[in-house]
Amino acid sequence: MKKLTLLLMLFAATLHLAYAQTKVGGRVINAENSTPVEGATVLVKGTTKATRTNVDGNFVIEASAGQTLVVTAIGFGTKEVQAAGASMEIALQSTASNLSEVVVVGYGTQRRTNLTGSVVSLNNATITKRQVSSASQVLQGLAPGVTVQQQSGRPGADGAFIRIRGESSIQGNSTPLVVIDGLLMPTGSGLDALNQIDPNAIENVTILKDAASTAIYGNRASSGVIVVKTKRATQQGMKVSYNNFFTQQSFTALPKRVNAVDHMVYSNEAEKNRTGNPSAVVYPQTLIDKYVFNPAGNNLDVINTDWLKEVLTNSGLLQNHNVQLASGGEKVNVFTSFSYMNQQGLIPNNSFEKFDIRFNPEFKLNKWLTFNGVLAYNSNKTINPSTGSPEFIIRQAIGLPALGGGKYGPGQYGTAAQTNNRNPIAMAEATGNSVTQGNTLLTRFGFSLRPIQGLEIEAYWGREKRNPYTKTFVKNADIFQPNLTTQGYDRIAVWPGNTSLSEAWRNDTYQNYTAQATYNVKLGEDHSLKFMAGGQSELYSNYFFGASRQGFINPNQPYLNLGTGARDNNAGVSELALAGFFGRVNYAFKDKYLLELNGRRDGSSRFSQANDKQWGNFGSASAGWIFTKEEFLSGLSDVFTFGKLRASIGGNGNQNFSSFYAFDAFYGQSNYSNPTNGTNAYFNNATTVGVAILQFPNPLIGWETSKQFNVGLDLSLKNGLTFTADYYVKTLKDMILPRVLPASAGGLSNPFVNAGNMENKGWEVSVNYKKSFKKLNVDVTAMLSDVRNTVNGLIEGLPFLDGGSTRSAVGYALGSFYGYQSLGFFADSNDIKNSAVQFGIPWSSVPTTGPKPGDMKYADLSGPDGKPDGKIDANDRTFLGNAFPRYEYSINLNLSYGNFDLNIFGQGVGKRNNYLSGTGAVPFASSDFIASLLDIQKDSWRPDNTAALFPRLLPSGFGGNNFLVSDWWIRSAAYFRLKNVNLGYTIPTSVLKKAKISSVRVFVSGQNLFTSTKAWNGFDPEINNANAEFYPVMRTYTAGLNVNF
Amino acid sequence: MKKLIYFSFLTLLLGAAGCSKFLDRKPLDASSSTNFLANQEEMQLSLNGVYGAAFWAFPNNTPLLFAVEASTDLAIKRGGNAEDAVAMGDGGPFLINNTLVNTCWSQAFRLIQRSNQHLGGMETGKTFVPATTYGRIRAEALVLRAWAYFHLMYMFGDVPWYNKTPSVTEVLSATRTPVATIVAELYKDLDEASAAFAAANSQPVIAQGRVNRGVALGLKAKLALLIKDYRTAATATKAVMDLGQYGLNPSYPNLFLLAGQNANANREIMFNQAYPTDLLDPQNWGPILGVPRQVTNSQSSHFPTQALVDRYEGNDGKRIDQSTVYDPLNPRANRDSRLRWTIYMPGDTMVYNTLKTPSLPYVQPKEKTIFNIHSNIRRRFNWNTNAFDNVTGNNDWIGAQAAGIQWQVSATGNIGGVGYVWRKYIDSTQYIWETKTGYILMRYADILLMYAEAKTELNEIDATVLAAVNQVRTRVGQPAVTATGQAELRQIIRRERVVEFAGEGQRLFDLRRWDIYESANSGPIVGYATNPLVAPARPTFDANEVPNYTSSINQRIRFRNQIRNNANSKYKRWPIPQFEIDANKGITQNPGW
Repeated sequence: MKKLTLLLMLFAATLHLAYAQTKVGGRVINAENSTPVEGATVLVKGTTKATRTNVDGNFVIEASAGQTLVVTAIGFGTKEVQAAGASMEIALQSTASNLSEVVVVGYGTQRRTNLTGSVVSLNNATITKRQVSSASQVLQGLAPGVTVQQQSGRPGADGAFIRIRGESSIQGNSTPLVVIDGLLMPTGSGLDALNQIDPNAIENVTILKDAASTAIYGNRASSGVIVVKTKRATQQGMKVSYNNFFTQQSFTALPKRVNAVDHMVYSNEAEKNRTGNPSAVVYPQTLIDKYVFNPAGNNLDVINTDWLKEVLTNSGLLQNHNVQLASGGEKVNVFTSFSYMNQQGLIPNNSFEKFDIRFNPEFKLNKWLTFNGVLAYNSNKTINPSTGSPEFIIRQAIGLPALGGGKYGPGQYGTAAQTNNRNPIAMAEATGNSVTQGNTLLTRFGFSLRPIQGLEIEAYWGREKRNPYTKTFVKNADIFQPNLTTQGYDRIAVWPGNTSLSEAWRNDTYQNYTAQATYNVKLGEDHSLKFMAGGQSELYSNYFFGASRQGFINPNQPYLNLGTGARDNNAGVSELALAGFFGRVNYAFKDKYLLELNGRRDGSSRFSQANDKQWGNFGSASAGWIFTKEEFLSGLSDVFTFGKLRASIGGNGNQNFSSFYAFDAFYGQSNYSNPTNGTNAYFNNATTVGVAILQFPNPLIGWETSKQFNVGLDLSLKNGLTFTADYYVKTLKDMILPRVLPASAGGLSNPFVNAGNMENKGWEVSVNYKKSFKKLNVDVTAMLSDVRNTVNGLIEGLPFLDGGSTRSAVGYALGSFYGYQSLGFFADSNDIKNSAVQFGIPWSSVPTTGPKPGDMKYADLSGPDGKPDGKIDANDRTFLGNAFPRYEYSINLNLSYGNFDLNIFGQGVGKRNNYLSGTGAVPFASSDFIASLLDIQKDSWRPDNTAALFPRLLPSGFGGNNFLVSDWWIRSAAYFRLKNVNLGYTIPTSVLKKAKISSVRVFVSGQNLFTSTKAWNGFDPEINNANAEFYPVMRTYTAGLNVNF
Repeated sequence: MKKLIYFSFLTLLLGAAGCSKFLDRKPLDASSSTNFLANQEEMQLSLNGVYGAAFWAFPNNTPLLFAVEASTDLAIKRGGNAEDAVAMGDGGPFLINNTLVNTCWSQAFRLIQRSNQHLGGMETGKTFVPATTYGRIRAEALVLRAWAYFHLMYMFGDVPWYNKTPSVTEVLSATRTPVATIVAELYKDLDEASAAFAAANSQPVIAQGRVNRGVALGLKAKLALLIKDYRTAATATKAVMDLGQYGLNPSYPNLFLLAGQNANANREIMFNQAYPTDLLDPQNWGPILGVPRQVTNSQSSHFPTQALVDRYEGNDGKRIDQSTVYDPLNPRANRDSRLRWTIYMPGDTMVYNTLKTPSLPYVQPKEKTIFNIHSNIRRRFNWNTNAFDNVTGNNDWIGAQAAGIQWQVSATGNIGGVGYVWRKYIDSTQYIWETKTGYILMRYADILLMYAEAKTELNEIDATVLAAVNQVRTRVGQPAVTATGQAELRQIIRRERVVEFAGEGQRLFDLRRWDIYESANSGPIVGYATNPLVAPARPTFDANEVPNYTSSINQRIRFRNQIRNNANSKYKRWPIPQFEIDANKGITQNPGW
């Protein structure tokens, strides 16, 4: 009760501060990261007057100026300061780790020492070390067990892919729940909402990993939770800061092309291989010679287009500006942040721009009532070419033959040697663009009530409204052809041949209402109890409409009313409602034995009310033992300053899957398309509209469930080392899968059923070393984690689920690559004759029939009876690894010396596979254009190059069995990458005093500066499934500035 | 503490308010099955959806039953696909996962599902719709469901029986219900439907493409014949005849022309698969598949066989082995007139509309060609000179084999059939690629012949039986039959069904229920004389009217040298699709498969 009394006094004191000259106050923060230190004792030296800091680190104490305050806190060195005014800032140096730090958890906070779950908390200083365009990227490598992969460098779409402790669903969503200032963001856009926030405006990000931490979020959190808290004004007085950076982006990796001569030479080689005729050619030698003697080309009869060079013409510049104003007072606290970012892509018509304004006010009405709010407006604009994605344009630029005409002059595009005249330069530059304007307004209004000691009641209402609007205009580019007679260019066609405009508008709203109460009580000296209970309701509603027209009169006037051709329009609407009641009990005995219980009763409109499937109960229990506090282990204190063992078990659900109403059947209309019949009838030769139920409902569908067991150890050593380790087993059950029904069910789309189960087993280790050597401060963190996924069950009677190159089967990881095992290349005809018959075609002397030397040779693993049968066919396929990263590691080094600070951050993956296909793997072949080959593919099998990377060259369409899914095309994508280097210099205060600037830091940084990998040259190991259709991730060079006034 | 309790409760109550309503969400942009079909308009929409599932086609726009016909002795289909193997019954013969077989299964069950969904769903609005209207809307779906089961049973035998929408578990644990049980249930359904149509005073033909009372009774007769319940078949067909609402179209060819179907003289067409003239898709591709290559230059695929041609009597009313007017050197002459309305033979003048716009001199846009397979000359009508020109280059010339084109023996090459092409449904007033002529599913001639058959099998041969048969025969100018012996009349009726309904998808049903599938579908596939100047010997016929070509095989065109071999008794039934058995272990395979 003492603590509570103190707290209450503190509140009273704060409010009367303005009138009591004998009172001093301020804030106690962690010197390292400026986070508040809760529970620090502030003693007026030589007196018995003492107080403790609150959650925000604030304190007020009666003292007169000149007296000395002694500030102590667990885990921090003692500090003495002179009492001076009401807004002192006292920074404590931590002695070991941030044990006293207050960590945000679900619907509340917890002191780090008292955590019993597996939680990683990242403060502002940590997440602003890297200068990125999407906040989600910075989470990479900072939390063990959290897989963060950046899959694209496309402006506006370069946010990371995040998995916490592996895949948690087969059909549903495995993306973690993102909670921003208490609002549970929609699963589809949670990471988008995070990406919209400038990292400078984020106070902290907490990642909840185990069920003990996530169970409070019920059936939303089986994939883990990312809790984001934006900044508030916590300090007395006005604080202004300005941060900027300017970045030059360039790609990390792109495959190297071949020039026109190579294209012709290797095309001829492929033709010789195909026909078996050594004099067969596609391009005559005279033509090749002409190119050899004029390698630069003349763009008339000698064309050597470097497509990548022609397409990658945008600046790649990125700039970001952020202004923050924070004003703290007795009654009103206001934090405001304004950000502007402009990111140019690598190709024309490809950029992203965003404005972000955030206004976080807090009004302290009286000693027991506070109102708070969030008003955040984000406006952004994404531009892409309209006739093809940037990824497709880049893939064409990688794969098109150099012989094709690129660009002859302004607005004069070549045919690209394609029968359809599709030219990626024209696509990027001249055929219109697709502009998406995103407008998001996030509002939150709430109050906090402290009616009696120890009790806090909070309620808030929040709403996020997104109105993305996309306008896509397609116009024609002029296609020219060289005219050798006139030595000029003739316009021969336009591409794509028609003009069209489509506009689409969405209104996605999310509303949240939450009320909760927390009660802290201390019974005697030894028993601390904390109760929390609350309720929450959420409603998501989505509406969209779109319209399009074709045939525009003027290609420069893209407005719907000017379209003279076909018209179309469309709309749709959906809703999702969620409600939950939750509660938590924390118990600490002597701050040594810790116990936490969580429970939530949760309901979702995704399931049938009639069948009582909506509501479910979720809960967790966890315990901690701070063994270093035990008397009988006091001998350890020579080595350890802190040690805790944790264990937790709990359950979650997942209600997020593709269908909103899988439990219900509804009538729809469908036009005739053979052989799936439509719903219309044709009485008397006239179309008569009809409706029918087209999906098979399953009224009994329920959410997926997960259980997680976690044990962990936290250790702090006297020498500055801290150590955290976790081991967990996560089991996922009742996974929602589409059930393939017999045709006698009527050919409806398959119902969802609760079937499959799988398991993620993993461990995480994190070590930190922190030490000061005079002026040199060292802070190094190293992390290593692994997670292994095993599918333990699928739908009864259905042993596997296939997806292109992958198969999910019992006993194997989800989405494992499935294909043939290669034995290299056939050496000669005897090798073919003596090997298993490949796909039913034995050795033949006919040059165009059957396998030939240099073709891929596969292992005869099985047959119809499960035994090798001397034949290679579908029975010989096997599991070939998977694309999910294993053994993820990172090392994060922070050094500061005097006014210099340096961050070096490296991150890597120890084991991962990547399957290469399409333009990326197959010479001369692309699914949608006439292709050349890549430079790496020159290393193909020839009698004098048998240790080649690629099988013998063959023309498009004849590579046949060489490019089936096999381990040959599944490459290691393990890597180590120097993610970030950031060197800063803080200008000495003496210099700045006159300018009334409190601090200035200038920095330079670089990202993805160095990569070590065994992946193919030109293919970034971080990107999945390289068929050469990707937007490369960026290597960046940045310079920036942080100014505080 | 009081305050604490008070506030805690308040917090929870605030959250709990209205939770059950809050979570009860239905699709906003689709009509939920829980409240749709609440009135007549909605029920009619749903009924239209049931008809949508009765629209059977495979492959592409080909009427499904036309494709099925090519799996019988009357027709062949070109190609090397699985469904073509059914058609030929060659070597293998066909595999379990035959796509035609799978399609028949899937499309029939889709119709059953739609019917059940409709029948169950419309109960929502029962009290809001007049009873007679409700009964009629229900009746149409009952007939369509029975239609699907009828086809399933003669194709596959016992099948899962669903008379209401099954749940996931019911579908996964279904077993095959005996044909007799299903037929008994369908009798009841069709009786209810018949009564409901009567109560609603439904028109004999509600509209082209819709079922009615006559179809309900006719379908009942078909089901009865399937289980050899001749008494029910006779009663049901008699009931249709007694309605006095149906008769024969005086013009046999008009049945297969769009204009003739619209006129539907005497309402002979009781039920057809109608095509929309207000939309491009779907079209009836049956006709285009039969156009010979000498007209289109592209490959045609469905052809009649010699075994069909030889079923047509001479116009003296005698089978060709007995006829005195039949001329083996000029087989076109002096035949049952249905032969020329059904099949183009060498020497026939064919008229097609294969181009939308004229391309003179030969396309006007009609194109007239004299069917020729025996020389490299095409005989094309010149619309400028109004005379036939000889044009060199005939893709149907059988002699092309000598020039290296494996005309009738190639495994994969272009095939021009065995010297015959389908004429039935060729309507030169329509652009053939967009033919909108309905595919007939039931017509009054079938009622008459089913009546005659049922009474004959009951051995109750009386004047009504002969009248029924002779009505069909005299309409096309064939002499009336007078035979009253059961065996003789049975043979006449069987021959009559072949020639009356060739190409209309009846043959597989007939072969199966007469238990002659194996014998009729085993033997070489033969065609026209290879040398038009050498007349092949006439075939002999067995008691089941199955021709035997042993004596003439060397004088005839042979289809890829194939021999249909369906002697194995497993061919009595089609195999249950493998995907069905894979998805539900409760479904057993037919014997022998």
